Amino acid sequence: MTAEGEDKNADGKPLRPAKRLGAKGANFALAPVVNATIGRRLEAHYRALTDEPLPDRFMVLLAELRAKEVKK
Amino acid sequence: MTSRTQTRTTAPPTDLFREGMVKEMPNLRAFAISLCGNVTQADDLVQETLLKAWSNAQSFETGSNLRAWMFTILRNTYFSIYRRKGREVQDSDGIYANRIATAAPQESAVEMQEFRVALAKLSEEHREALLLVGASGFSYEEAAEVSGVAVGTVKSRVNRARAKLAVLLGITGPEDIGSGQISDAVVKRFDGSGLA
Repeated sequence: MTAEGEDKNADGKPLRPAKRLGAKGANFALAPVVNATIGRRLEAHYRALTDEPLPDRFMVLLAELRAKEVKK
Repeated sequence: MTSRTQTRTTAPPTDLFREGMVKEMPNLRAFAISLCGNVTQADDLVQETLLKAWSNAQSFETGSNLRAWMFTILRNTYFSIYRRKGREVQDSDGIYANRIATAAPQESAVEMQEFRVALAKLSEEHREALLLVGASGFSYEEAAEVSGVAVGTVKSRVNRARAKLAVLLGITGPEDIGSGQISDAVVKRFDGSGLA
């Protein structure tokens, strides 16, 4: 990873008005209510996906991999 | 694919490691589907990630962030192998929208479909950053590690992604909240429904 040391001041808190975004940053800030709406829809979108049952093949794969380990 | 290690000199993955992988599956799959916009491809991607994670389990430091480690494998696999052409999701209209039920009662199905189409229109880098930070629960620092870029770059991408979505969804200010481009009837039904 290359991120180390490149942005020591970054604090990982939610976006505030884009003060420290520098040349690459978007030089604007969305209204909090707009951000909140987008955040809410994104979360709803994700929740619908994470609530889906997982395909069986993932567990089948893990079972196969473990069976191979046991045989070794 | 080709990166499986055939010989192992250390202990096989522990049950704890395996359980950790299983626990991350729903989040990982949601990320994969949202990133590539195609359920079949996303499931292949998750399968490939599980295989790689298992095969390289000895390189995972116990106690470090398994979620970040697995997401890194998945996104690297996606960006090096699966991504073929264009910067937008290939089939952003039919996609998973019709396969995935809307599980959030306060969001209309129309809004969710609209959101997925808009999400698919973002550049992959912007979409990735937004998903990691806004949905998968990573801090900006963790997202930067996963994507292999500077923290400031992640912040910038998230900010731009949100701004683009706001435009695509027609959300420009308080008066538009809850409407987007959907019909008046839907607006009325969902108007004033506790928007934070």
